[in-house]
Amino acid sequence: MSAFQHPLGTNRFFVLNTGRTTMQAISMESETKWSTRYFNSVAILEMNPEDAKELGVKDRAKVTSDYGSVVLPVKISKRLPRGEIFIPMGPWANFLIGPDTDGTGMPTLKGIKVRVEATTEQPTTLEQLLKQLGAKGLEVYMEDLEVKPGEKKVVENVVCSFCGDLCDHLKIELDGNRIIRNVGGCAISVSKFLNYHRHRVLKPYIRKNGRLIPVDLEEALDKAADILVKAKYPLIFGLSSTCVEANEYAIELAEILNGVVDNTSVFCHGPTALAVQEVGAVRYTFAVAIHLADLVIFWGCNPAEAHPNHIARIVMRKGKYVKGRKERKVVVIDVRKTPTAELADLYIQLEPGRDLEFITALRMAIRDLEIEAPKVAGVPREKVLELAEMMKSARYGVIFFGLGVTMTGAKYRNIVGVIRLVQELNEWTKFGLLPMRGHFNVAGANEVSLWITCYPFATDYARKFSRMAIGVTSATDLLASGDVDALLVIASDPVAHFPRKAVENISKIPVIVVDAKWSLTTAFADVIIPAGFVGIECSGSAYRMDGVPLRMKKVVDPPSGVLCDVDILKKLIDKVKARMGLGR
Amino acid sequence: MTQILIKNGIVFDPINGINGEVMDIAIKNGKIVESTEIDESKAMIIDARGKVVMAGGIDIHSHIAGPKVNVGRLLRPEDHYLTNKPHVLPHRRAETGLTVPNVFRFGYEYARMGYTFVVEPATPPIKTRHTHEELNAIPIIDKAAFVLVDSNWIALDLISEASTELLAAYFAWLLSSTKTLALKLVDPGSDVAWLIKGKGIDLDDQIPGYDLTPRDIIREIGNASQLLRLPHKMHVHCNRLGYPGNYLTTLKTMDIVREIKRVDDGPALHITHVQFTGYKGDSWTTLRSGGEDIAEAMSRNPYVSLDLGQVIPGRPATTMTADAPFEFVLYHLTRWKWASADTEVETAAGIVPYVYRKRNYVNTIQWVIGLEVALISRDPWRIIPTTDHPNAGPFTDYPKMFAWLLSKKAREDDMRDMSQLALKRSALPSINTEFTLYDLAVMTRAAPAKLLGLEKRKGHLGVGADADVAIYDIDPREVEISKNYKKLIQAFKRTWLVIKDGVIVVKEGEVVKTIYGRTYYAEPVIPSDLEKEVKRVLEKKFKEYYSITLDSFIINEEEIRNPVKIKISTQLTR
Amino acid sequence: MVVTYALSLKYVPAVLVDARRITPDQFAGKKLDEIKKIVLLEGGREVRIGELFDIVGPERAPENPGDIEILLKQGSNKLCYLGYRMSGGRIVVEGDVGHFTGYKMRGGSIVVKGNTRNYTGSKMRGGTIEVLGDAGHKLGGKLQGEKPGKGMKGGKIIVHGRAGAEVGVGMKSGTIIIHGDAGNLVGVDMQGGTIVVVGNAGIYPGTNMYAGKIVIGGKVECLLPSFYADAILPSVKAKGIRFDKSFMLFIGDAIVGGRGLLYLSYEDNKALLEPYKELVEGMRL
Repeated sequence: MSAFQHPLGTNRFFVLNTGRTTMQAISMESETKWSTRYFNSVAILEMNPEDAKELGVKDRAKVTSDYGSVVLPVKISKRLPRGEIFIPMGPWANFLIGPDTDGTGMPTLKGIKVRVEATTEQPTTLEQLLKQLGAKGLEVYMEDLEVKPGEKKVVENVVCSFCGDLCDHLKIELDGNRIIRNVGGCAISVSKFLNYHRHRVLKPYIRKNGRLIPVDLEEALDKAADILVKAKYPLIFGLSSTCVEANEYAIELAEILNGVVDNTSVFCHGPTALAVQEVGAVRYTFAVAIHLADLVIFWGCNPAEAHPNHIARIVMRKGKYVKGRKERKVVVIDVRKTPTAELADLYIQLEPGRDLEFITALRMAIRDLEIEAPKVAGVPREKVLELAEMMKSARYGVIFFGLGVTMTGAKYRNIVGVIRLVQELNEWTKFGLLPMRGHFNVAGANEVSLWITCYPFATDYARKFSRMAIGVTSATDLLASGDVDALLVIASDPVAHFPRKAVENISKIPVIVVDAKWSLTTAFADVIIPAGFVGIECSGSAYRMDGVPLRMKKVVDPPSGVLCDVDILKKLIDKVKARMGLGR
Repeated sequence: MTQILIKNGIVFDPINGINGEVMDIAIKNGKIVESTEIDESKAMIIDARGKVVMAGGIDIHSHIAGPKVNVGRLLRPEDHYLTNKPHVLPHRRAETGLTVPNVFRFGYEYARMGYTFVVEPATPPIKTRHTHEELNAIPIIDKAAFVLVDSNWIALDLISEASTELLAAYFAWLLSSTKTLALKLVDPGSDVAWLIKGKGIDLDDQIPGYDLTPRDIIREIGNASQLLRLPHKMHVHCNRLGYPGNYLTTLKTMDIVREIKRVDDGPALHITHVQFTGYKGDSWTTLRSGGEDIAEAMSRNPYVSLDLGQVIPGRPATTMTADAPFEFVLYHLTRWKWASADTEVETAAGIVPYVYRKRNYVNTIQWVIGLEVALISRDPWRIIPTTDHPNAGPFTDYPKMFAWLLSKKAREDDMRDMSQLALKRSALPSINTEFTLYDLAVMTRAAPAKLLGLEKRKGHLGVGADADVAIYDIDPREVEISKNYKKLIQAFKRTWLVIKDGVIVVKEGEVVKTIYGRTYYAEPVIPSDLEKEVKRVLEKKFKEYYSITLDSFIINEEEIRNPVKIKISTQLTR
Repeated sequence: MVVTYALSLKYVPAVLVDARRITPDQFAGKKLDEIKKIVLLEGGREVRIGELFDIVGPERAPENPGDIEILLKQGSNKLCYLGYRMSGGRIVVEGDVGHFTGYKMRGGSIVVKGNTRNYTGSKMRGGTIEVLGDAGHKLGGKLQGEKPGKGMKGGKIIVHGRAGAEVGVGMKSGTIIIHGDAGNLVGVDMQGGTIVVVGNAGIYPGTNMYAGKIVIGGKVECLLPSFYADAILPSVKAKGIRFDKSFMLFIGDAIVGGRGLLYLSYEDNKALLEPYKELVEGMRL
């Protein structure tokens, strides 16, 4: 039964969904998560106007789950159905999220049961949140890299390093080392490039007596190597926002240490990989959709906000056999009417957490099995049959699916269902599906992991060979249960994205952070090593969400004293090997 | 630099006509040199008495790297759980997997069998960077890749416009910009049909959207490859793969050499994994071997070479091929897992797990076909033993395959466990042919080196060759291989010593050092005005067809770990 | 005659421990000194049993594993793979254990007085596992990517508390009884065997079920449309447990052409099952 079927009153439960928004992404890229701008875009709760009225909520509300409670400013939004609230992904949302992953590695980040009430308390600040989570210190030493005008340069065909669309047509204009224009990038991309020099980590730090002290790189690397070698079961995590070569070194390091290595797909499209392990997949690359797709389905994803160039590049573009938008039907399936849904020819709203039911009914409709229930997942049976017919009679149908399908209810079993649906549709016509990857190289992180370990993520080397047991070797589960004794974070911010319990356990172990900007995880770090940005200051290879590998360019030199991830990891490997007597 | 002297080995070096002679092989600075150049007081002396010495083996068709191999790894975690070998650092990284192993197992297991060069036979152009990243990561062996061209929209446009020179120039550009060695055709034209209609086509069917047939494509690509004077002209996986009765398509495909305007002598066409396209009969229950017919066609047609795609019964496989329509059909037979990928403008791929069962009628006929082709045609210079890893069997089972080729008894012993009905309907049980060790050296060293055009530095032990040497612990003077084939299998499974570029990498069957080999690619030289014209065409086509820029497509030499450019002077630079 | 080895933790491990060699089979025929030297993995480090545990027991273990009982005086949720492939004898844990307890077990019994974590009884062939507390996810199931049917093939698992998601995933045969609640997707990919949940279950029990029997004695959150209502029964008895209330029997999962039996308590799911009542009654006419 969904939330809105419960009786009214203050004991009523709401369903909480979390997710990316454009403002969350832009502020994160331009200002870092310590900024007021980030706070304003992430520490916020969206709620339906009637619900707000009924609860007496004015400008703020208190949200409580089984795991925690936060007070947040409220934004009224008609887009939300009654009984549902939305908090953008980030530490406030995660404070409410439980550690359990159902053995899938994926915490439940959507469809969470919460209580909402009006309150006069102050909204929870970032500092309060981090303190509750056990942060080792709250001082950050953000520095802007000095940008000096100089030689004017234009670099063509630059590949963007934000999301899994990997737009490779960017034109970047520089004046010295200042990036002054980004032509072709979406708003988030522009934000990332133009602000690359701001809020940087420009020195290595070691935490001594609770305070971060700047040190030279050798000392930081030595301390990091000591931490890793001393640990009995270290975890290396992140890797989706760095290049392929860095991924190879990170896995090599995990192998040398007999530790664990995992990437951010564990709480993103890891479930998609789990589903492929079970049944396979039917995929395509972008231009296949451009030239042939007369039916485009966006399921549980919101490209208008999370992958802003996606629709223009694929749906709008004229193809060889399909002349652009007017010859395509666009269907959006989601639990709330996102901005993407505004573009749809057909919008289907599902009850949260019920995707598997809907997928099963679609499969049954396609196979002419009788559907007895008049409504499935909140969708009338006739609509299910209508969509099934649309899919069968398409010439080439494509599904782009997002975290809405991976994160709720049956989790990876939803994806197993969608893949089977697509495989079954191939009896009738051509059909394919693609996961909308978030980070620019999370697909690459999976590819590297596969060719070195044979598994896509969550791989441990405790027995001196690679092993993946989802629910056991996944970072989310390891940290949620406190199963590891050291953490190396590369180009990622687990403190901002992991459930509360996992973050609390991070505070109890030594942590090394390698990053370009001041992430929230730096508040839990014992060693911080500055790194350059792949795609701006460091070259390297990355994989688009459809598996197409591209070469990230270097448009400026990294700041003096700052190395690229690849070089940092190489040095770390040498130091670790020396300590373990493994020579060169 | 290191000097090695291998003394008194029993050498088999067909390119130099050496057939089991006891002689010394001298190595200096990574190359084979005259023995006189060695200072024995400074050299490492290896006593190879009673041991067979050959050049390192060359596998011209094995799926070891690239996007579909990686999807295969993802698809088959169950293939990885019990097939692990712990690392021994710093010498050896951990190994995992059987049919789709990790990069380390590929390199190490090939080295353990004495192979030092392996070709990835099918890479989609837009994803070839991925193929190279995996090839870069595979230790020890040298490698090369073949690029897929048959369902390529740009190529098809040029063929439709009858622009022969422009087509050749496009392929020259393609080989150079993807850093690949030869042109690959897979079920030619069928991936276009797959993308548009959801099924594959036969040799003389129309390709949807084009006024062309697969026959046209094979002929025109053949013509282009002749103009380019590519050492390995065309590597072809025939249409109708997997369908009973498809042997006729194979024979027709072989005949297309007649339609090709040949410039060079030597094979104009290489048919790959011919077993899969050697089916007689009209259904699975009436399946028969087309091996005899194919062997006969081979003897009449000197312009074709082939490799077997030999089935290994009783072993798991993970079928993976750019023949996407075929994989969809196989999925219907196995009804478990199926992965498929449509690649823009170029090709498609499919992956389906499979198991070959000894007593299964169809699987036994499949086993028969490869061996019949080899044993009946008896031309080791044009018939290469492969298992089309991992389609017909794991490459680690090659020694078993060698035993079947060299020993009738090996065949008979294994036939006892197979489908007797299938054997009754086949010629194989009555074939007495047994290849010799010399023939084996031809098929696994000399011939593939020649077929790839690398016979100057690979596949032989003459002066000037790369010092890639395999020493097997078997003495053919003491062991009668046709009776005692198990000793052959043992020796070839765990090579006694393997040297790569003058460095000892395997000792008594175990890898003792991880080094990295080279990647070979072709760069046919075309006149600059033609090159300019091709670039103009490409700028236009990329904007029209691709979802990436032309700039993103090109792979630079810096991206390849140890690149070796093979410059080819073409017929176009007259 | 059964002998007991009592193991007491010298310290609480801070990381996952691979304790697969703590089984009666591994102890059988060994001297106490040899037993202490048996190697375990603490994270990625080798550690001997004697370094992690104090062991009290006979100088020489019996040859027959069936005569050995291993008693862990405290548990730890970090101790994984206990009872791996054991063929006989008994392991008793007076506390919690970690993942993969009783993995590939062939005989004998394991009693955990606390909770277990994920993959308990995975790929079990025989023997009994009894958990007095809660069990984790994927109880009695197969590993990721394996064909359905590669899960539990025999034996019995009893959980007195709650179980997590995917109970019995891909099981082929055997019995699983949960006295408390179970999580989502009970019996997913099931090819045979019996699962009885006395309490409530999560979403979509029986997903992809091909054969076998699932009984849910409490509430279910929701049901897949590919299950067809077949009958209403006044009571149900399964594996010695009797439910004296009405149940509705569903056959499914039609999406895989399955003919598994899914019994849902009608009493506890009236709102969900009422619409099906007419269908069932319509069929009787």
